[in-house]
Amino acid sequence: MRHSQSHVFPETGVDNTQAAVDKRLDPPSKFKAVLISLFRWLIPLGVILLGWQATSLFLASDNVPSVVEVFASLQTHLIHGDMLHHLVVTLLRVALSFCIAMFFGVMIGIVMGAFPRLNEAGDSLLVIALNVPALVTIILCYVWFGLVEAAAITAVAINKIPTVIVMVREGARVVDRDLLQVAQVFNVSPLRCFFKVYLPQLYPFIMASARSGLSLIWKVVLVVELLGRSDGVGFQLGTFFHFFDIASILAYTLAFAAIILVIEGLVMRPLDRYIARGNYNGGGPSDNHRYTGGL
Amino acid sequence: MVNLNIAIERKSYASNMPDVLGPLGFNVAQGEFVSLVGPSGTGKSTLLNMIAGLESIEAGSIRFNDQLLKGPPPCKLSYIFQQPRLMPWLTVFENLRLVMPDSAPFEIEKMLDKVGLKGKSDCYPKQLSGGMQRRVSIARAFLTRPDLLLLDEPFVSLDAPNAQRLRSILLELWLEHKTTVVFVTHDLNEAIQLSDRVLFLSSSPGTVLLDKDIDLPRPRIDDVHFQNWKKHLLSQNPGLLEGQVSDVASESFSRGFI
Repeated sequence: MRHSQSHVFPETGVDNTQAAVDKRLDPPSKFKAVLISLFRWLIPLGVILLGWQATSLFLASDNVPSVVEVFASLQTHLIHGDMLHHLVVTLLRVALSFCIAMFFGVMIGIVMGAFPRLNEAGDSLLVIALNVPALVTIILCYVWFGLVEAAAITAVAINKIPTVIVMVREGARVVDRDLLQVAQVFNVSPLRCFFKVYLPQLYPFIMASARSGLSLIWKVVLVVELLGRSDGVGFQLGTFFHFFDIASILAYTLAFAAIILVIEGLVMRPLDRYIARGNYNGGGPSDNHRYTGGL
Repeated sequence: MVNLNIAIERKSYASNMPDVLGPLGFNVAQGEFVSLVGPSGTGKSTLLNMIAGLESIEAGSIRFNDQLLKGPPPCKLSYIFQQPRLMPWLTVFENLRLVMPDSAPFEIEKMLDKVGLKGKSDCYPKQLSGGMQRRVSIARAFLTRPDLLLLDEPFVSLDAPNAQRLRSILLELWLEHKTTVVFVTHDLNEAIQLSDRVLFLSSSPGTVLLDKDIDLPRPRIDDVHFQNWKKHLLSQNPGLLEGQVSDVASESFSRGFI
């Protein structure tokens, strides 16, 4: 009886918001809750690594390096190679094109959501933009603007902007007129109204597009680097491909995946919590779980 | 302070839709508390929205201190909506701050204290009960020191004691601020208890059926005088609450509403 109670309690605690957990759990069981949530994503990770190691031992092929080999390669590239430089270069490209894509995507999305006529006019264009392959945009940008940094960034941003537009437009369509009327009646200045009344309603939509955007953008950035830059993770992967250096390829992939995970934890999650303040999930494209659920 | 002159000829939402408001005219004096009573769907909310500049005036005019209303109202106006309409992502304090950016924090705290929400300024609306959220919307409405206050059935769907408490808060603040008030309700008791004058609207398209001063002394409680006054009014004007003016004979069938 006692055992089952102590088992159930942290379980339900983990499923609630962090604040609720803090308030409800006393220190020992809070520690236990943290442990459990840690194990929750350590165990799958361990299973994958073990499976990987077993497969490579079983196949004994140069094309399937073991976990140990990959981590050794990672260590060599980090300490003796110039992995850090390439990671930073790629990260900067990701950050820059992400910001550009979000800015234009949100602006155009708001305008299209707010004005039905403009939306109708732009809709077919949007469908085309959504379906132009990334590779085509990249090649065209390089051909027209030359093999320069600006062309690379532009190509990535162009790939992302349509998907941001689509999501933000849906948000702008369902904006709560009642709340805007409050701002109008009480004579709230247009700027304040935009940032305090209008934009917060779009945050869940912007957040969802940022989430999906980050993963899309870093994939496109690698292609851009492979095709026309002389540094960055994509360029390095291309080089390793020529030498069939699979361990290095996996090492670079792991390193960048780790960075994305850190960004997710340090930037996206706090942002989620900020947006979900007041327990508000503004009828966004996703339910509450995406914002407060466990990692 | 502001007085209102309303002379609407008609109002419809689209040319192929039936009119929601018919010919309708009345004045509201400075500092007067006027109630509009009528069955649902008579365009009461539409009328309030027209006064607030949220709805266009197609035929007719609304004047603020003899100044024709075009676009935003030319005075400080507050509106207590049927729903509290608070921004869920702003705390109670920030919600009040939104409508008065340059108000000092102590003023906001004082206003919250008046509506019985001391210490709730850091709460988000979702953390408050429905009644508390309405109190925030009342505090928000009075914080701006409005010349004209519009209320659209603000106490509907509240339990009776809670609604009564909010009514007395409203009266207190009204007496203190001397605001001109237009109050829409379908509850005759509420209208008699609160207002100086009550206007009865007909069913759609809404027109004024009866314009009645309430000469009961304040504070008004639901006592014998109150009930007699109401009974007298209703027996003289049968069908008033259904929004009909008809002769007494046909009325005897539809009197079971009291």
